[in-house]
Amino acid sequence: MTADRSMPTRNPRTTDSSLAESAPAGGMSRRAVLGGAAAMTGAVAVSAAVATPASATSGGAASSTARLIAALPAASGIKKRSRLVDYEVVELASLLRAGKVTATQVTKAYLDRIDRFNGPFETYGDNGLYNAFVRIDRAGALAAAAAADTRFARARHTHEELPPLLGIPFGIKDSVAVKGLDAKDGSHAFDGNTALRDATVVHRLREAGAVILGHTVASAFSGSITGTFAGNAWNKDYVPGGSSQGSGVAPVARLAAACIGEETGGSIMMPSAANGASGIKPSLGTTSVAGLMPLSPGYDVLGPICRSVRDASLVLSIVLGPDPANDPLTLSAPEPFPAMPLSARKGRRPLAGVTIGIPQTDWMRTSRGIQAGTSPQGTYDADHLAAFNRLKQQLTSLGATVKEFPGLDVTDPANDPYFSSSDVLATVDGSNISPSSAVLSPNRYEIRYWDAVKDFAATRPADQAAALLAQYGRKAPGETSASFESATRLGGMIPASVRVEGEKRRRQLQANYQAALDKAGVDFMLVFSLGAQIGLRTGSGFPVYRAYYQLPNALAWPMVSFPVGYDSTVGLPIAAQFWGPRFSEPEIVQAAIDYQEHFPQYHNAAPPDPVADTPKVAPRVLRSVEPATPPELSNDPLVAEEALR
Amino acid sequence: MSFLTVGWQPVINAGLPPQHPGDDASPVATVGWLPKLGTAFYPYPDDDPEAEEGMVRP
Repeated sequence: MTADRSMPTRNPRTTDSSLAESAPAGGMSRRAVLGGAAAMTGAVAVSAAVATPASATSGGAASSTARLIAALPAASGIKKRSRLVDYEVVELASLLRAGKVTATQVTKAYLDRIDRFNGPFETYGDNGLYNAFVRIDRAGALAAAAAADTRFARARHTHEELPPLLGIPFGIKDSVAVKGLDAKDGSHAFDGNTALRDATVVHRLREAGAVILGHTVASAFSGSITGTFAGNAWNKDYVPGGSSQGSGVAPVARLAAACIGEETGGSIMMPSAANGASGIKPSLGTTSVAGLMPLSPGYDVLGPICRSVRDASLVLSIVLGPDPANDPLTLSAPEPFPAMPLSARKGRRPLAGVTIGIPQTDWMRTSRGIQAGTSPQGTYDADHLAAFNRLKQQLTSLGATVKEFPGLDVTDPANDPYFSSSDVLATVDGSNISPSSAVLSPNRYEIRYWDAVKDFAATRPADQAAALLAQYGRKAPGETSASFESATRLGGMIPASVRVEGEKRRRQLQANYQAALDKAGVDFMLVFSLGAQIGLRTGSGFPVYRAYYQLPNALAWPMVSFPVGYDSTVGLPIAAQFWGPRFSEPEIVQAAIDYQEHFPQYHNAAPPDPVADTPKVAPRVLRSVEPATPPELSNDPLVAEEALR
Repeated sequence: MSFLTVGWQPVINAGLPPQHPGDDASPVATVGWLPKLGTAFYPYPDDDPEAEEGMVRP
């Protein structure tokens, strides 16, 4: 975001000195914290303008970089893996520093696998292979890798501090701005949406040395949590999970070292779970969403999907942090953010003292609908139940107290006056406004959600404009056709008092869930987002899944997904998730890292390479000819809530 | 309840669109969504990162 922003009136020296003065200090006041954040904006903008390394722009950055580097495993102690592409990010970072491999070798290894196993690009459909990447920037990636190698070589003489992700190849979800590439959010309806700058998250990755390989495929308009465009990393005939489909597939299929996904209602967790990746959906406000094609502002978050949780934690520590001018919601996070863990705790019982609760009212959905009254584990298939019971034993063996607790039954409107209430807060322009619409529609209005698409559509060919109108337009009661203006009118006409009532109910839901944890003495929760083997891409997706998969997003709480087994028939991954209160990322991620340290067999497993069908380029389809996502599988909260009533 | 991380404080300029000296009219991509949500980020009238140190605002 801040890249390329010219700031002619800002004096870098002033910014740096004010930053230096705000940096030290014990017992900073809130005022000082905010002042520091404001100064940081200036510092980042200046660094982008004059292309100085990130470590030079922030008083805290040098020490935090040193902490990240110090946490890397020693190159001499890294266990040999069979292929270069099998090494984790933290291992690669160490091997690159030690000169055992070069960034060019690593990047070429991934590009080579993309050439062999990805299939044709720009295909929003089955392309015959993985289809994890929808477009790549080969020249840009190789140039970045060569530049990284130059820095590694120079540092051998100068011993300068190098950023932690220098030379690590990344994939970025199709809905995130990567300068110079079109961002299409899963549909050719966005052909021509060229990014003029990097999104803040991409900018921070580049500042940390990352090599950006390209865009990973997303569900159409980030709509579906199952997905059919990419092939599952473990068997490409099965759904990859969505909407960050390619970002879930690519790390596990060894097409990228790590990826960035975006979640509004399940879109990082579902692809992480379906592919057996290790992903983190951060709390709202932890990462900046500036430069993201929005789905539901106020829910949307960006987070890492990697092969190991420590990799994901490293990536998250790079991209998190305040971005006040571009995403003011980042000011709701603690600053400085508590240090993300990068290695397992010592000892045989690292989880001693941790209470992990299994919410018994976290209902699952099966082909028979929402299984209210049946515990989640009561819906699991045999393989998932076995993995679930094994996981409980494993966590207990690490010292954790694992217990079932009631959780919060969100089907009761008294507990959840936000999603589950049928209250109509207002009737605006002929439409009934639900509590969540009272929150999300004005949020969308505020960021020009519909106006921006309307302006863009006006510049595009008729078929593209029609597809955008079909996705974003609204037809009010009494109107004969859908229009962007109608949608904008609805969002803008919702009174502030109604919006406040919606926000109040969202916060009541948050408070009620926190109270349920506090009452049971639970630190964080354990759930399975998927309770049975996932379905074929030609089928209906997920036979058994958390009905309220959007709940962590409504709560603004973080979640981490990690593989805990593989099913006995096809060998598809079985994954668990920890989720806890807002900004509990360090705690839930530490527990997951501890688990993977002691039980590395799941996240270290590598899928067999797919047998190459004849690669095929799907016809250029726009939304109008695609099958619609059923509402119960939608990443869009306002669509999904239709299925929950 | 611990879901609020930052204690509530009165917000100055509440209700105005986001205001920041770094605000820029140029969009991040060809579709010109504003990447912002929320009331004024800039809640304290004296926190101007462009101000010289020690400068007194009028």
